[in-house]
Amino acid sequence: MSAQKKILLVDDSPTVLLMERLLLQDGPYALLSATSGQEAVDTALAERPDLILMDVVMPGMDGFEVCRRLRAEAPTSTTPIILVTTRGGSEHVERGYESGCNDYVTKPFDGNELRAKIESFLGP
Amino acid sequence: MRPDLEMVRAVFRAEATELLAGMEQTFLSIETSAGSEVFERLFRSIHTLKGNALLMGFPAASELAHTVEDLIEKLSARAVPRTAALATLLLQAVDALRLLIGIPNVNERAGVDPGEIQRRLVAAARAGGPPEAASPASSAPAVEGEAPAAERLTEAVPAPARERTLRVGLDRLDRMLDLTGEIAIARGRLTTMLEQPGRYSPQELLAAHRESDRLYQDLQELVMKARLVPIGSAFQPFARTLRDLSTATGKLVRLELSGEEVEVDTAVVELIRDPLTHLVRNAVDHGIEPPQVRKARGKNPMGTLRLHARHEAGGILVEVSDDGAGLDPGRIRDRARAMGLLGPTEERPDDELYQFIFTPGFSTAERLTELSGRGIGLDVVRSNIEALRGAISIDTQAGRGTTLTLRLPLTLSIIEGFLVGVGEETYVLPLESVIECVDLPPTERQPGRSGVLNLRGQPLPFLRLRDHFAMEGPPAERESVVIVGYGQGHQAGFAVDALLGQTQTVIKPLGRLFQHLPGVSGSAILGNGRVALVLDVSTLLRKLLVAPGPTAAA
Repeated sequence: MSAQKKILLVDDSPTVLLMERLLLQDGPYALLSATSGQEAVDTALAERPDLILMDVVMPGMDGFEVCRRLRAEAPTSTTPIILVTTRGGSEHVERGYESGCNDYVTKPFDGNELRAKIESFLGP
Repeated sequence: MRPDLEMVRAVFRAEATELLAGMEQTFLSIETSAGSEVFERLFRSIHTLKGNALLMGFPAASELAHTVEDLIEKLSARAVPRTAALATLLLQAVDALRLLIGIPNVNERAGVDPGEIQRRLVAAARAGGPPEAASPASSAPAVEGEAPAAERLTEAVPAPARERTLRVGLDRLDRMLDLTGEIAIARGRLTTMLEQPGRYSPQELLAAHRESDRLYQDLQELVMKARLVPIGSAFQPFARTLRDLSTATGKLVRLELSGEEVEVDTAVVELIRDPLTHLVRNAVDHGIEPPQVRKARGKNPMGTLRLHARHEAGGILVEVSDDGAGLDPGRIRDRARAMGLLGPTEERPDDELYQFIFTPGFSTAERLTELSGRGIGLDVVRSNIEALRGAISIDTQAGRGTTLTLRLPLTLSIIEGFLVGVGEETYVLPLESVIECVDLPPTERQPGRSGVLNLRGQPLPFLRLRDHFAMEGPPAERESVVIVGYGQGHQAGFAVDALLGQTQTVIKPLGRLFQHLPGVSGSAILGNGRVALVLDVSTLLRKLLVAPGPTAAA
């Protein structure tokens, strides 16, 4: 049997991390988490996750910057990255694609939609 | 999924509480000191709150947060001037967000109307000027559908019981987990040894037992440490309280904090919040003079209120000081006489007069103001503090100010106890208050609640617990007196049947039914599985000393 797919969850809010964990814990995934941009880059390079679900607004390094850095590194240049944005951030979506992300979800996200998006990248 | 959802809600509330408290502190000083980095943090906080509120199903709070975010962006870009009026509006927005999310406000304030606040925020952001300074009180019932967006904001959220959560560093938790593992190994080893009778000597078994006991104590210490938080989180809200009080009274008050890093049990922080709030209000209302008066007395028109914390011998000490008028012994004497607490010609030293302010119903203020005249007196503050096994003392100088000092135990749940037996029952006295034990002379062994004992030539009032608790059955062959200290060098005793030695006990609060039992502060489970009541020394002694026996007048 192949190894479980790894998903890296990145958010500086414990509420969001916990919520994402609860939505995904029943899926066939191993869940990792990071609470800052820098930690996200370090964890992504060390753990090579199969997908990254990431907040945009974070202290220090924001989600866009993390995307750019990960795209510049060979091991993570093609890792699927889904950005989590909040309503009213249409400019976020644009900047997100510019910085190299693959998709985005908007809060409040729907569990089914989130799982479907993840499955579209990782398979069921 | 229910328990999970409960957990997310608890985390959400804890996070929102923290974010809002942080924003509140920043808004307090936004007119004067706000660099771009401060605004970035503000923006991130409100943005996170906006998203989380949406996730958790608080659309109105999210909407309001969105408006605040908008205004913060404009403030940051200096598209809107940073004024005191705007700071007040943003502080009211924090209150409104608390209301919408259902987080209890530390300082209860006159009706916040989220819809009204929302409208004024939008106006402020649009006009780029200061909002009209309509007071929230004057616009109390203003929910008459103006803007549809504003109407949606008034959906009521029932306030939940206060969530009790605590953040613990992962490294501390990891060390606890390690210790748990070590304890499991030590216990396993002990079990194996016990299963082979005769193979190990009692000394070897005892050594193995002591090893696992030592590990357990390490774990206990770690758990207690994990409960420690800096006391500063109880101090910070007072910056806001003082701002509100200054506005309401026209007095000028500056807040000075020190010792915020002193760590105390998280329960202590929660429980001293109300008493501290009362003392702070009291200091501003009764202590600090209006600016003109201060000027006339040659003082700085701006008064100072100091909150200071430090460690002191196994406990912490919190001081609330003001540089106001100080207590007036003359007025306290008059009031005490009027209340019949003091004879018409009876005189007392000032120090003793000051103690009267802790009497229920005692207030010398000519008028009960809206601020401190709310039916709670210093007597309630004192009983709250004593319920925490703490004590309160007062120090005042006419014209110079007043300091109220709270002494509190570091942790609430574990005490070094001294066990005593009365009849079939076992009671626990806090070891810190026990001074020595002596035999009760046979001549004093008569029924009656209290008496006075001659201790090396000094009178020592004592309370016979057997009588106090109306214990049946014959008294013991010998009775002993445990001498305890209280106040400044005073001593008193408790007569008991047996002295059972010291022990470390975990105090459990009494159930609701017994919560108001005078003289008992909690219960503890003993090593033999029985329950013992933990005695509240100061309350018991007050009973003894307020209603002394015929010979106890000394």
